[in-house]
Amino acid sequence: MLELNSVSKTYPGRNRLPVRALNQVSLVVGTGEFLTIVGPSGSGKSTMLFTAGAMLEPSEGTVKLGGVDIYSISKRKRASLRRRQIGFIFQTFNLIPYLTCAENVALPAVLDGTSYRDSRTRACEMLNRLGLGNRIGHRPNELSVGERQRVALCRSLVNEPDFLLADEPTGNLDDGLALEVIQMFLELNDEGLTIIAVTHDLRFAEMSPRILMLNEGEVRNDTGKSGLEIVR
Amino acid sequence: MVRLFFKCVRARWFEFLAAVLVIAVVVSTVIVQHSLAISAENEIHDLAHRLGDNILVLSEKVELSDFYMLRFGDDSMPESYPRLALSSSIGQQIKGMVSRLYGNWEVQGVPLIVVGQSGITRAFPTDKSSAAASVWGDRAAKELSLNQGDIITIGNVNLEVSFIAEGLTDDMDLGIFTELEVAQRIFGRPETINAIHVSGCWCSIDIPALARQVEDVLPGTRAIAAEAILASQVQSQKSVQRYSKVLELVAILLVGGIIAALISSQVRRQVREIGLFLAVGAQPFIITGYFIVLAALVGLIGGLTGFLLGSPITEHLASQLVGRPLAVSNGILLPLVASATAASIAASFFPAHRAATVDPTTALREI
Repeated sequence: MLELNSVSKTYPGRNRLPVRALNQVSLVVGTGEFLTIVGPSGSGKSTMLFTAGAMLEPSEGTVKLGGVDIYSISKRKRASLRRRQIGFIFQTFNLIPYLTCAENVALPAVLDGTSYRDSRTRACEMLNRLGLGNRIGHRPNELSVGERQRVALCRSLVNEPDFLLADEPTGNLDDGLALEVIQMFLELNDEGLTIIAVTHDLRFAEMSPRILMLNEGEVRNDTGKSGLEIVR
Repeated sequence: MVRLFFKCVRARWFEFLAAVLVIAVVVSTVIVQHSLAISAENEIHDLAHRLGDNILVLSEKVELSDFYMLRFGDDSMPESYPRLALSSSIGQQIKGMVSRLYGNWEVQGVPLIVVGQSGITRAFPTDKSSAAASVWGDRAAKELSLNQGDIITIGNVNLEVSFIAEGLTDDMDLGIFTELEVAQRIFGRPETINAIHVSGCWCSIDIPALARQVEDVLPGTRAIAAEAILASQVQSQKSVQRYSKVLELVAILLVGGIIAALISSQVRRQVREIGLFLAVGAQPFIITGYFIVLAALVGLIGGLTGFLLGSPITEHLASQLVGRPLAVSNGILLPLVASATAASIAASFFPAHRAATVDPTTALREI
């Protein structure tokens, strides 16, 4: 379970005027939930996702993962937690250009101490599962945008995390590919993976059982599917 | 992990290679300098060995370094000077005197050293009235394809190769030893000499004082006691050693600067990858370790390459430059490579640490 308790995040803005990206946000995401976070640009969606993902320390409040305050533990433990319990998908994929697909996917496993051979085997299984078996030895620049997104998804899942956090996972995809990704997310959620996704894509939001709307750093609405009308 | 490390390195091999080569040039410069300093030290030992307790008397105009580099000019002294010294008050302290006329002569592109001194004809009597006796260093004879008994004309004087001497030291293997009078004819400098070697048993004598007395008796001369030469040479050697130390320090700073610039630039250019590594759970020490190991490898390979480059440069180019053979001591390899590696590690520490503290969200520009 992921809990955000009165989380605020303030950035030093231009002319030293602080910008409050999150303001007293509280949220509980249970195991196996699929939550999408929607809201206009600058509403604090990505900040919230990175804060929940143990990457961005909040200015105030606590973030607990499985009951552990993730910003009160050491950096070393937090890195370990990011590696093992959280999978992250970035909007721009962030694949390493000189590594092959298999190596990109294997990276978190290698960092977790798994041998290169075992990590690669696991990565190949993951790529095969997402239909990229014929792309194992290719580099990211040899892949289509949709394929890159799937490689990024494989990388986020290679250590079998409890949580999948995705920042605009369909943001760079055309309609067909976006639908494909949404479908994959639903399948993963059906398998028990907890998913939190930030999106502008209302089709994506419509598919998820729970939607959280943020505006100006505050939760405006946190509903089930019935709340979609409010979002619109 | 190691495989991924080398993949990262391979992706930017050109920059690392450039850094390795620059470090290699710095290290090879230190090697050449070190070899020159060692060679100068050996020269002093040779000189001490050669001169023993002797006093060398030269014209005061002679440049001592030229004389010891076997470059002889026109400055000379009257041939009568040894007799003058023996008949003076210092005569009783002198056991032996050898007058010589040294000069350079080139035959068919071979730079020869002609040494005129008395006693050659007595030691090697010649039956050819038209040729004077001469003893040749083996290299000189070989370069001119001369055998014992051959006759060669040098400066309108016919010389018979009376004997070919092997194993002469101090470049005297390019020497021709002939009678003093014959050398004077070759150089067209009758009744002159340019060096007097004075010897004696001077255990209880103040040699520098005696040298000053020789200078008083023989006007226009400089009497150099081995002790004085050595003192001045040791002083020069100490200066060279100080200079070497400064150069080594500058080299270490330079290697550190190169590595600091390389690693800082790598951190800047790989900031997105570093952010990603941290985002997917890399421990900060892995990021720090990656850059430190990278720096250590560049320093190590640069040091080794510098040693490999420095050896031939020293043996060929520097040897030709100073006019005597130089060799690189293998003993310098370990300290030099260790210093280059240590300087690289130290210089990479700050940028590597900075890399490990990169904020992944900023690096990935996701917010």
